[in-house]
Amino acid sequence: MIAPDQKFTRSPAIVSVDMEGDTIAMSIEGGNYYGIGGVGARSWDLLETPRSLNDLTAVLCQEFEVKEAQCASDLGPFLERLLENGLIHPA
Amino acid sequence: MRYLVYGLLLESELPLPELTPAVESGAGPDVRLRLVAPEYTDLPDGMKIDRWTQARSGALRLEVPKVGIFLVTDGRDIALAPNPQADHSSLRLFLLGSAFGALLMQRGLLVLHGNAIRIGDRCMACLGHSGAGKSTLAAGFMQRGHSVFADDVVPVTGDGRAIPGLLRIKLWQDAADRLGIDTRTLSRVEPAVEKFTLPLTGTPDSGALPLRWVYLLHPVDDDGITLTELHGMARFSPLHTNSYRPHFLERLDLRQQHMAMCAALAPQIRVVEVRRPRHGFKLDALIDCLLADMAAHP
Repeated sequence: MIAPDQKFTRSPAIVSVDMEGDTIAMSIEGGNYYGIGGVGARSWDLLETPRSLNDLTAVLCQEFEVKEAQCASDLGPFLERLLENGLIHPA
Repeated sequence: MRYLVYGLLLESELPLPELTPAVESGAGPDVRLRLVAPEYTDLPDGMKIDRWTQARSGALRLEVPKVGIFLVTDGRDIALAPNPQADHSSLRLFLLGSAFGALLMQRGLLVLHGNAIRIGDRCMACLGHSGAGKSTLAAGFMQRGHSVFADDVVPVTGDGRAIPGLLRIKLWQDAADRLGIDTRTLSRVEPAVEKFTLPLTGTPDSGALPLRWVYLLHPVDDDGITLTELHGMARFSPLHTNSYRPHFLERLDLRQQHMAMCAALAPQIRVVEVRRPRHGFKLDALIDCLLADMAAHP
């Protein structure tokens, strides 16, 4: 479980590019490519600087038509997946 | 001897009569091909890619049994140690394919695997796995009067232009039969492989042309032809899979460059997945379909 005030940021070995609003990311150390789409791509943008789940929720609720509770509940698993795949790390 | 190939001035110690000779000028060559003894092709710090290939940033070594060893460095030098029994067509096949493919990647180009057909003042690329029908389709376009811009190796610049490649198509015997081409008068691409070189009609274009359409060919167990446009991140995987020798990228330390170039190219291209019937090629219908798609999405 992601602690809502734990800050995360992109892992240093990860580079990413924009592809028509989606993000393609890879580790410069080798391995898979990752595709991050939709609202996730905006979260990825924001994670360029250290952000917590609460930080991201605050921004996304302003930019998108989504209720805070829904947003937070979607972001948790999304951040977990980024973490599991080494795309982000605790800041 | 000097030649023009893939937009580059090549100075070669190996005669390459298939290539366009370059006019003597004061300019230095872009690429040098030297014939060397095998020990000059060693790459001690190369990391293994497969049984025949090692590479590290800036250098790739390819050893082809009974043909020769190619060491390609810094996008500028090819050292070739030919096997004494190597026949010229095999040497040329691997030189102009894998070796030059690696060289073009080292020079910062995005190299795709497929054919490029000139359409007006731009070009379209046909990509797909072996047997997907790329060569047959290209030959079909040619018979309809469109010139084939590149075959097998399709180099694309950072600003999205495809560089004219070699003017020949590798044709399988059955594809040739389908097109009514008599293969007896053609030279075999590789001795003992049933693929032939068809000299292409049309003059080599001197300039690179913007790449506008990319068609991904998939043979399926269906009767119809369907076209599906791909958007966003869905475009990346097929561009990567259909790049020339994508397994070279990691050891050459070119994955990041490759990814960035795919992203830079994406906004200007229409990428379409084409499902065509596996049995009964329907070549004319397929060409009509693609021409209509290109007309509808200029």
